[in-house]
Amino acid sequence: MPAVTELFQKTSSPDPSLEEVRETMLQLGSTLSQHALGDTARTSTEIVVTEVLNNIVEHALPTTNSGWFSVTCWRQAGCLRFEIADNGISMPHNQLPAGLPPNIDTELQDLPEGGWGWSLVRSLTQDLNYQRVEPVNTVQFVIPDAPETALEDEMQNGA
Amino acid sequence: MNLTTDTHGDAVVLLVQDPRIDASAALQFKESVRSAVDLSVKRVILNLQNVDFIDSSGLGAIVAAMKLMGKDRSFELVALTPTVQKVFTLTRMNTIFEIHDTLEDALAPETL
Repeated sequence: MPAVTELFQKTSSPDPSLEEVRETMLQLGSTLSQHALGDTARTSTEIVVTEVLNNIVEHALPTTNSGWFSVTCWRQAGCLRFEIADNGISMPHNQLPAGLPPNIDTELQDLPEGGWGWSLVRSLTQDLNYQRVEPVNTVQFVIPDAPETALEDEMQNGA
Repeated sequence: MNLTTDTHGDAVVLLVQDPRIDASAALQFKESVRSAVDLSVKRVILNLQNVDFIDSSGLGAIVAAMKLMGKDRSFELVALTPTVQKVFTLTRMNTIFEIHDTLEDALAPETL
């Protein structure tokens, strides 16, 4: 097997909706299920890519004509590498949000109803990087994979 | 968003039928909970055994459902699947909700 293999590539239809994010995630999940990956890498991928795509559809694309996003996933030794791009507006101050988790030490009625997205992305990825090259945003990151964990799980489940 | 409702004594169990509570379903989920729960119900148990995945928006919708119940009524969760559990743990929202492993645990009479 070559050192780096492309596992998945998709470009959205014009002006994609949140339903298309869901559809993309189901396609990505189905593709990754054909490969021996650890459960941790699988669940992290599902959480992280969903949050990045939701953010694009909800915040970057609404004011863009013929908006699109694309997702590419490569496998290499010990990790999955992702590149997610879109032609929406740039991130505020041309940088990724700090991703501090919202305060949850509050009264019931003041609990947050969102705002965990970048915090989840930052806690589950490595080498997270954002670039704006007009008119395209590109986010890259790595999700560690430990196939031996999957193997152990399989052995335990089979026992 | 399909929810089925089942009454057990003073508790109403809401079983989510869909496998995902994500950004495209969050609003519908909130509306479904609102219409499924009568104001007189004192205890709601949300059964997530069929839910494979929630995102930040889905988690927010579950928080909104708990707020809807208010602080004088109980809103509990049951049967978190692995990815759902991971989102609750990473966001520390597992410390906010009362979470039971199984519906049997949730409905068992309290023992001292």
